Amino acid sequence: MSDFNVEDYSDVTLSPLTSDVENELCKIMYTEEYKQLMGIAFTLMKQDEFSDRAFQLTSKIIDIAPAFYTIWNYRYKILDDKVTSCRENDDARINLLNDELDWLDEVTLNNPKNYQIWSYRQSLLTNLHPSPSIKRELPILQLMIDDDSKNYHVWSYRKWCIIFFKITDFNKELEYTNSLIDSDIYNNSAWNHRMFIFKSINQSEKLDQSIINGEVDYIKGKIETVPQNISPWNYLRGFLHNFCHETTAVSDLIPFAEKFVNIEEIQNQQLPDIESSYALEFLAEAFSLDDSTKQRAVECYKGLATKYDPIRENLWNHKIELLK
Amino acid sequence: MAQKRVNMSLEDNLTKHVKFLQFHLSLLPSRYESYEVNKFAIVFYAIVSLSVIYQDVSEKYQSNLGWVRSHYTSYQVEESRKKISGFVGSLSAIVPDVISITLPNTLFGLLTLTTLHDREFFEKILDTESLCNFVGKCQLTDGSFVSFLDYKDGSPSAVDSHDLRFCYIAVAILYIAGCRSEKDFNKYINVDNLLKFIKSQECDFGGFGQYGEPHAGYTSCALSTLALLQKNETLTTDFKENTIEWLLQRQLSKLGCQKCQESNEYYDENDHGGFQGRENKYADTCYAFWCLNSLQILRKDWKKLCNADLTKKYILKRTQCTLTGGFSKNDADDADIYHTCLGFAALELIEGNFNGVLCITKDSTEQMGL
Repeated sequence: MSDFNVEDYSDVTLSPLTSDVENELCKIMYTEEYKQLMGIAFTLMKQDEFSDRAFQLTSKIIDIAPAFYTIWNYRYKILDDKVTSCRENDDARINLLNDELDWLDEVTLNNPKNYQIWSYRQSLLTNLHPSPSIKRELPILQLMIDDDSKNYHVWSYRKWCIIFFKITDFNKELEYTNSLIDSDIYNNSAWNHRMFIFKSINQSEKLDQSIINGEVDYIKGKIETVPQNISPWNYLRGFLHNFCHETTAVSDLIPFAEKFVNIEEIQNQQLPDIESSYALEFLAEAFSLDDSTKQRAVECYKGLATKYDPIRENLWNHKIELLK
Repeated sequence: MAQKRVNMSLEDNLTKHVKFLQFHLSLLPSRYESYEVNKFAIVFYAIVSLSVIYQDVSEKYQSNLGWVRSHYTSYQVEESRKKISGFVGSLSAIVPDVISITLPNTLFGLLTLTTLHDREFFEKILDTESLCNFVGKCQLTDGSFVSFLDYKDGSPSAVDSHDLRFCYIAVAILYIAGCRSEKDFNKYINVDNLLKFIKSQECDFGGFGQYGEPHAGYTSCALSTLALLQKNETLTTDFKENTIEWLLQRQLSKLGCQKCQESNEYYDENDHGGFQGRENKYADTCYAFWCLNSLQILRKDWKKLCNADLTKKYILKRTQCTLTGGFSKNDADDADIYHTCLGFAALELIEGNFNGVLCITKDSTEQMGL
C-alpha cells in the first residue's frame, strides 16, 4: 500500500469545519493540516467513498486524533466493503484482515490507553476475519502486558479471546498466570485471570478434588512467601467459595491462617505483632461461621480495629455489630 | 516542591486553581489537538470545578451559552424515520448527514448547561423525545450501551465498546430528560435487559467489573445507574455488604500490618488515606471520588464507615498542585483537568455539597429541579 499523499485528494472539496463562533470556550488551535484532513474525511464520508485513498486517510487521521470515534467507524466500513468485494477469494480476505491487524498492532503500541483499539479489534475478528486465530493475538497481548502488567483493558481482551476462541487448553493459561505471579506476586489482575480460568474449567467439567487440593497448596505457598498481600487471600476466599464446600473448607484452613497470627494472645487481648492482617480477617470470618466461636471472631475484629488495620476501625466495629 | 504542599489548604490556593481552570477554557495550544473531538469533556470538568469555587458561575459564563448550545444537533435517521439529537464534542464534527453525536459528549453538554442554569435551553431548545431516541438507539440486545452510532445508518456502531460507563451515561441522560419511573425509562430503553447486564458485571465478593475483576470506576457507574433507576433493591443484602467492604478496603493505609509491604512495587506509605481503583494499585485522586460516591449510594451513614478526613488530607496535601493549581492523579504527575474535577468532586462529596450520582454540585441540581 502506498503512503499517504495529500495530492491524491486534490479533487476533493473540503467540508468546512465550523469555527470562529463567538464566545468560544476551550478553543484548541488545531493546525492547518488537521483542518485539511478532517475536511477531506467528512466529504468522503458523505459521498460513501470506500476507496484506497479513503482508507489511507483514516490511518493518517487516527495517527493525529486516535480518539476520533467516527473515523474508526469509517475505516471499518471501508474494510467491510473491501472484504465484500473479494468474498470469493479466501486468501485475499485473510491477507486483508491480517494486514489490518498488523496496522492495528502498531496503533496499539503507540496508544496503549486508547480504548477504541480493543473494540475495533473485536469487530475485525468477530465480523470480518474469515479465520481468526488466537496465535495471531498473543504477541500483542504479550507486548502490552510487558508494558503494563495490570492494564485492565488488556486483561479483559485476553479473557474475551479465551471465550471467543473457545480455548480448552487451560493449562497454558494457568502457566501464564503463574509466570506473572512469579514476577509480581501482588499482580491482582493475574490472580483474577487465574480465577477466570478455573471457572472456565469448572464449566466444562467439575473440578477434580486433586486439582482443588493442588490449587489450595499453590495459594498457601504464595501466602507463605508474602503474608501481607490481599490478592492471594481474596483469591483463596473466592476459590473456596466457588469450588469447595465453603464452611468446611474455611474451617480446615484455620490452622494455616493461625501460622501468621498469635491467635491465643489476641484472644487474651494482648495484641502481639503479627505477620498479616488478612490472616486475622480470614480467621475472624471463619470464627463467625459458628455460634460457638463468635466471641473469638469479635476479638479478632477488635484487634484489627485497634492495632492491625486501624484505618478501617469503623468497618471492623460494624462487623462486630453484625455479629450481635 | 513536594514539601511546599504541607500545611496548605484549598483556600490558600484558590487563585491558582481558578487560573488553572480558566486556562482550560481559553485558548489551548495545538498539542491539545487530539482532544478536539471530545473537548466537551474539558469544558465540563472545568465548569463543574469552577462551580465548586464560585457561587455565580452561571452569571460569569452567561455569554458563552450560545456557543455551548450550538453543539446540540439533530439528525433524521433514514430507516426508522425517527429524529435523534445529542451533543457533538466539537463544532468541527458537525457536518450535515454525518451522525457524530455521542453519549458522553451529550451528558457533558447537558451537565454543563445544568451547571450554567440554562433554563431556556431545557425548556425551549432541547427536544427530549429525539434526545431519548438517540439514547435508545445506542442500546444493544444484551442490555448494554455503545457510545455512538454508525455515522450513516444510525445503528449502534460496530466498532465501539459496550460497558458500564456507557450504561451509566445513557441512564443519566434519560434522567436529565425527565425520566423517573420505570415506565418512563422503558419508553426508550429495555430496563430489564439493562439490569441483567449490570447483574452480569457483579464480582464474586462485591464490586463491579469485567470478567470478575472489580474496578472502582465501573462500580460507581453501576451503582449510579441503579440509583437513577431506583433499582438498588435488586442487589442482594450480601452483595451490598460485600461491596461496602470491598470499597472500604480500597482506602490505603500505612498503619498496622499494612506497612509490611516493602516488596510491593505499588505500595507507597504516602498514599495513606487515599483510595485505589483495584487491589494492589497506587492511590489516585479520581478513585477517592469513585469509591466514596459508590459508598454514599449504598449507605446513608457512609461517613461513619470510612475515614473521609484522611482522604481529604490526602487530596489536599498529596495531589493538590500548589505551584500550578489543579490536582494530579498522584504526586508523581502534573495536574490535569480530569483529576482536578474529580479532586474537587471528592472534597465536595465529603462536605455534603455534591450530587455524586450526577457529578455536579447540589446547588445545581436543586436550582434546576433535578
